[in-house]
Amino acid sequence: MKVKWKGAPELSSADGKFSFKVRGRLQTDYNAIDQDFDITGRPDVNAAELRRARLGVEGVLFYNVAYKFEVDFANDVTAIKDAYVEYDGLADGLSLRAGNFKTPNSLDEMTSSRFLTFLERAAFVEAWGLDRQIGAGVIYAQDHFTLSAGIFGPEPFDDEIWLKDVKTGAARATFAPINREVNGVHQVIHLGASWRGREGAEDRRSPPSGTSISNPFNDELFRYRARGADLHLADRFVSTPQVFNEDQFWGVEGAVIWGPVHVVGEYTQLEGDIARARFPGTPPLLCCNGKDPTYDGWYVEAGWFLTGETRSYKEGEFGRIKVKNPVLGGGKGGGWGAWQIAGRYDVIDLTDQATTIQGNPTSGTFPSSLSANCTQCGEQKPGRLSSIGG
Amino acid sequence: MRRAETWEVVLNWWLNDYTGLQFQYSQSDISGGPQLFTNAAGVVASANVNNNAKIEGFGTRLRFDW
Repeated sequence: MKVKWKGAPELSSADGKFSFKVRGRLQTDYNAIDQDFDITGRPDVNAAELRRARLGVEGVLFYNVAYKFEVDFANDVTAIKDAYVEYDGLADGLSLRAGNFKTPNSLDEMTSSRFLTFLERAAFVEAWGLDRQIGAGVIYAQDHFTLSAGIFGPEPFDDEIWLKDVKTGAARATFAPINREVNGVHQVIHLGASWRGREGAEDRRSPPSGTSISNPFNDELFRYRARGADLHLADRFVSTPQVFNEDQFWGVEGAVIWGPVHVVGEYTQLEGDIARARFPGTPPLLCCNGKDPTYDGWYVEAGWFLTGETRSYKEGEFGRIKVKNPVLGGGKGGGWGAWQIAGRYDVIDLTDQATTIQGNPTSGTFPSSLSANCTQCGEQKPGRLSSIGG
Repeated sequence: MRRAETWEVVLNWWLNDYTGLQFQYSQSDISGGPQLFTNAAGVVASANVNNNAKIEGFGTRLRFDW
């Protein structure tokens, strides 16, 4: 039996056929946000939260079969995160994975929340719904390129309700023509692209008995929205109505790491298809003049480690920072730690096809065909006209 | 149906490989949105909700993983 320290003890058999490690993360946030009450009507935010509180296990089950299972207990909600079994005995770098895991899309989404430069990912990641889903996939990873693809069903919370409805395909390819260390300087050039296609429910159904879902649209249809200031406790100030039953996402990504400096950028587009069959005669009122819109989101970021560290990179993802002079760390403690400054410019644009909608702005009322479904209308603002439609 | 442009700066301090503090300032400028509404009487009016709103925030995080 061998014991290795990886933030927590990892136990493994001497021949490496078995291993076991408890894993987890705790992220405690405080947000102070001015939400421009005079215009938005939303009060300021001064609040703390447990952003993530996860506990799980990972290891090697037997020879080439690995596993990972992690649950998030933050904010009184129990959410299954990574929960999968993986077989990597077919060929070097080739893995087959089944369970609940991230669809292979976007460098920002694929990077663990433990290693993010900013508090939250770029706005498009949440807006497009890039997340874990139940499915199966194949991953081929080498030092200079990766290929991954999978087919997925719903997110775990939906599995007892809409098990057969959401169908997703996703794929990602990355290429790192430079991934090396020269005279102690870590150098990486990363390029990548990814795609995801989702198809929602095909028929409208009543919520199953015993559930608290009051509106089946809430689970069946897609909408796209993002929070202000890229902070988790801010309200969502950009949003579409919840009227889409299919969408197509694609994105391109690039990154450079050169010693302590890194630059990253991604551009993404998403085309949403309106569920016209659900709203006979009303799509022009609901959204986008009845046309399928194409939205986009992108960001550029740059960062610099003042203390000389570098972002780690492996198999198309950013990884853990190795601190040169840790403040805490047993016999190695007493240093300054690692200091990094970074900036990001992040844009999400949901204005495509947003020109004219019908309604009555002076009274804040809508046509009766809309009012009946107004829980789908994006964010609401008491006493004011919502941003329904496009 | 709007557009948000957000710029943000962050200062990250890792105490060791597994423990860190983050301090972030960010600001979103909201623009766009429905420009025109046509009511039942055919009157066109502007209703550009939240246009020009500026959302500013400071966030900090203590993070630890194992």
